[in-house]
Amino acid sequence: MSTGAHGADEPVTTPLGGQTMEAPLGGATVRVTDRPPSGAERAADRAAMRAFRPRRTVPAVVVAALLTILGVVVAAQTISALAGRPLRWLPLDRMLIWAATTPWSNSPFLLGAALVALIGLALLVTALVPGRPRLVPVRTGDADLIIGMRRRSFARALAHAAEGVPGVHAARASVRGHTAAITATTSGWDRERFGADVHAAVLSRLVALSPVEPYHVKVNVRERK
Amino acid sequence: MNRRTSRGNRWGLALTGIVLLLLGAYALARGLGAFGRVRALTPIMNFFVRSFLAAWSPWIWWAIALVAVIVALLGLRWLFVQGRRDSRDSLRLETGPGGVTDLTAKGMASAVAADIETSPAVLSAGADLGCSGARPLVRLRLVADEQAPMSELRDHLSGVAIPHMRGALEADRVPAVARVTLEPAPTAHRVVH
Repeated sequence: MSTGAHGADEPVTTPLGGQTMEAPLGGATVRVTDRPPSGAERAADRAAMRAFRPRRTVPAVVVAALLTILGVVVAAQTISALAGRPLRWLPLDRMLIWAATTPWSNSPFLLGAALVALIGLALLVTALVPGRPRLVPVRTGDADLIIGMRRRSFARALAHAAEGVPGVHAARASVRGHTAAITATTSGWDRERFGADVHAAVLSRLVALSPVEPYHVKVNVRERK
Repeated sequence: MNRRTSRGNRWGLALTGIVLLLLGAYALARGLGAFGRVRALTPIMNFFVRSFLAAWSPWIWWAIALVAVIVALLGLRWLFVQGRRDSRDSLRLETGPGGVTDLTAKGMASAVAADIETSPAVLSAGADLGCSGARPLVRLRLVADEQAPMSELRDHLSGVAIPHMRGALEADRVPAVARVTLEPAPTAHRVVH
């Protein structure tokens, strides 16, 4: 059985080691500080986000390998033909005859053209869309000091924070996008109270870890039978 | 991999994407009659293309071969830079009247790691020294106590470890990138005799 922790949407303010955490109880988005970041802090946040962006290595390797193969095949075919000893890697004669007899409106050709355009669009999107950082960037306030937490250990730290609540036997956490979903297993019956305690523990750990991006915390409480 | 490779990947993918998109869109538009019905019904390799190739043969084929060789070389270079690292075996400090000082990056990196491990928030640390252009930079791999606030680690790095590095490397700025794994601190075992 699984329930949402609570339904209250009133924001609560909890003082936390000089920082202030503002969050509605039901599902909170953590704001790590109580003041807007300065220009230097914003620049540092941007640098941290940029440092851990995906490198696009897999599509780059695939496209680079295909370009290399294409270049080698075309160069080898052309140069060998010019030297008078044509390699027969590709059925060039048949391809030329096909191109000389097939109109631009040929359906399979149009399908191929659409596919080429779609692949081009996909490559363009891959190049232009920044992508989610591979690590969780930490707010440092200094563009020369970039810290990132590994995603799995970040989620595990949140789960351990939930497990620190008295009465919670086990907890799991998953971080997807800007949401940290916590599932806590308890032996008690007071779901409301467990939900609020787990929520507060996870929020306070989140504030201590000070990620650059805000995270929404969702708590599910399960009762152990 | 360094930032230049990441930027190069984006440029390479974007340029290849634009070329494919333009070629595909042109073929599609022409085949669907956007440039007139007559043009849609002509063969892909029509009389003009064939006569152009015949008129410029064999030079046009040499030109095609040259372009293909350039494409192959660019593709190969693109593949090879994927393994490019910005780490160095040694770092050369500024040349002065007294001469040049070469630092072993490995020795320096282990000194940096040992310096970072003095923080109670850090369970273990590793470091690599490299260069971004002429400027030294340090890459850190840390295992940190998940209970410790990140501010403790941040303060230790920016207040102790990085100033030490700046002094040792005689540089005004030493950018640092730290990849942190969070782990629970090992529990202390008490042995009662």
